[in-house]
Amino acid sequence: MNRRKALGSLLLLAGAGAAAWSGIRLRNLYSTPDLGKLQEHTELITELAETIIPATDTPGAKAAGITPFIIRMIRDCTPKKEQNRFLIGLDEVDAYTSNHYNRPFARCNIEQRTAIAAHFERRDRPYKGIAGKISHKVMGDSFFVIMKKYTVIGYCTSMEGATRGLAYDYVPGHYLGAVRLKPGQKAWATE
Amino acid sequence: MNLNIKSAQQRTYDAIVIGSGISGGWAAKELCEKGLKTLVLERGRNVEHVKDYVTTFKTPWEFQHGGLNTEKDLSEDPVQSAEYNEGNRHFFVRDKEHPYIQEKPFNWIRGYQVGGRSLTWGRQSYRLSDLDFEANLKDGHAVDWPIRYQDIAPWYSYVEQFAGISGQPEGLAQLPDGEFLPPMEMNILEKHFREQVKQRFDGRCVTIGRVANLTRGWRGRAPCQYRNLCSRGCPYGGYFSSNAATLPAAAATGNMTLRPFSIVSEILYDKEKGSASGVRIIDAETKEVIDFYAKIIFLNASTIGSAFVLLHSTSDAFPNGLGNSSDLVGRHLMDHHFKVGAMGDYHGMEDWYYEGRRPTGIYIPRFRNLGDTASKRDYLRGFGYQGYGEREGWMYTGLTEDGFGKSFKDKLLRPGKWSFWLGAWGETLPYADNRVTLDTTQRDKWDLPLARVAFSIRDNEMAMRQDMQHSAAEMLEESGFSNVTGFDYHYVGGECVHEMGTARMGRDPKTSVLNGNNQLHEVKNVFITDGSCMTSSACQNPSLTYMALTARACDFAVGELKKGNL
Repeated sequence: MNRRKALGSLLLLAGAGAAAWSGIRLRNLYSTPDLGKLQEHTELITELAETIIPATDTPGAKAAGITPFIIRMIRDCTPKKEQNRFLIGLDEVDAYTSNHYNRPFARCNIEQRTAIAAHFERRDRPYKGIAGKISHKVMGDSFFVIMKKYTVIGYCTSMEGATRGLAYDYVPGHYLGAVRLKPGQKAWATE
Repeated sequence: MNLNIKSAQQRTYDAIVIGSGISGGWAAKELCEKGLKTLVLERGRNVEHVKDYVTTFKTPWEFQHGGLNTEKDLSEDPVQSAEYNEGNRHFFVRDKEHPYIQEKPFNWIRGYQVGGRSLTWGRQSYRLSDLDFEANLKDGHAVDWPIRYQDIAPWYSYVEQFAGISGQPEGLAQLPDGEFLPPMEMNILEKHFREQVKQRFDGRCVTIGRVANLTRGWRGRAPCQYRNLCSRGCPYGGYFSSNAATLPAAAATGNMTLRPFSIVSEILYDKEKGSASGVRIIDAETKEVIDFYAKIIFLNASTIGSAFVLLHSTSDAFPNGLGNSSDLVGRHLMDHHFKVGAMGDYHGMEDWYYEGRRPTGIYIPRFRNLGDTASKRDYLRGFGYQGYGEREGWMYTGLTEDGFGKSFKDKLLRPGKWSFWLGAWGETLPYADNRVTLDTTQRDKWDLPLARVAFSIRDNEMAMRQDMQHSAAEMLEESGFSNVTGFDYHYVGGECVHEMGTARMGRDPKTSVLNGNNQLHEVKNVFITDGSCMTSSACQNPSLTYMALTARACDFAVGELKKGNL
């Protein structure tokens, strides 16, 4: 157990959370998820990731090409109930978008995408305190939390994200304990 | 069973070393350099320095899962996956292949390969002091250590000068200074914390971690490159491992024979001579059983592994296991209890950052129960802190900041707020029923019984943990940190990977397994210098002490051999 892992366990407790219970039946969370549906949702995942980390003066999620990473993480690194929550969430985004804008997410404009993402971000925000912990234990991470987590990890560990979004030093060769921030200073990509 | 493939003579050496981890590597080096033809037996595969560090040059985007473990990893390796990640998984055993029984939850973390866990260790390197060596005698727990600081001090110097330990001398009696390479630098917040603690807490010292990473070129190994990827194996030899340092030195003598895939099932005892004659191995791949012979045997199979070998070495003379007439082998298992401390934020120094990835944090040496009234508490022994100051990075920001889009991205990519983390590592008392036994009802794929581990911490440790948390929070609060939060995660035995104590040293064969030279009281040509020899656990990270005790015991053993006493 290293120091960072200890911190990591805390982060998971503090930062992970639960969605509203309504609309999701626990039974669905324990059924076998149809992961084949991930491929059908490739475009939606790509555009949602870009909405979370858009291109600015640095590359966004789309340019970093992280959609395959997100799908791989859902397949390989996500407990079954969170896989289900993620798949249900994608369907819900589709339905919500269709109801409100009468078109798929990928054909919505920036304002519409932002409004949709804001809806799901608010809906899925973790409860604070003990309620959040209990909810997380039973239900796992909520849809938007999962989407955001893998978007962040995918982006920050991608070549574009690490070297152009963040600052990546492959072999530092030295350690300096006090360096003045430069204008526009990026955070280090690795610790 | 076929014992006659080669003649016994071809299978005879001057010395046999069982295990190639941090202490076995030292035994190999010392014995080979003293001219002994030495057979080094390792139960796992070979790992060649640099060549077999298969992930060491990988960038983050060359991993499939961003460095994280998969659900399959978590379910197939419920124990090891708590310690490994995508970058170093190949240096940990697969749980299914190497079962053991947990009477109470106990994480037995293992690296079955040449170099053992010296490839993945934390590299913190601290000397014990007489505060530790006299502790059992003074408070009446367990038995007295048969050695004092002056017995081991020259051997600490000896191993430090070879291994290369960077650190800052502080002149503290409870944490003696070593032969240090230049210290790594504290960052600006850590320096601030050091000054605050010095001013506000009498006698407490915040020093840079003393770590087996080189701050300059040293004995053919290049300095640390500040990548902080040590556990993947270092292509520069920037940190101490058997693979980078002791095994190459042993090989250079021409006296070492290294045999991977050699599972030692028992040490062979010659009743007439009253000494061990050799060891029996099972080839891990072919399952062939082979005996090897030697004049002296160093058992360095790790704390639980060495207890296993002794308990499994039964004979008419030792029906309960080799050197175990006292029934003490396997007992008094210790680990450091930890995962308790505090963290806080710091407002200020916003214009400052750091460069490079330093592979250590800070250390606060023990300040409780030092023998004076002021430091005395209502529990026994003490603890030290490891910690670090940092500007939070994307891993924290990305999981804690609400929102999304441009403003979220801006925050994500900028250096976050300064924060400090302090975690305590505490001494665990030796309890006779914290114990390793053999379970013969279940067997592994080599038909060997399974180790059964029973371990728990008790009232003294629980009382200490309250102080460990409280004192961390207090130091941060007094030093100007805000949002200070104490934590105490559930500690599971073994998680610290500091197992020790199952064949303790002592003065009396009735109450200890080894004497003051790490010699089995009852079988003088068997030496044990891994963690199992520890009479108490102290609170310091223990590997440096194993190294020093190994070098000391090798010197003694070869002396005895030359005098004809072995």
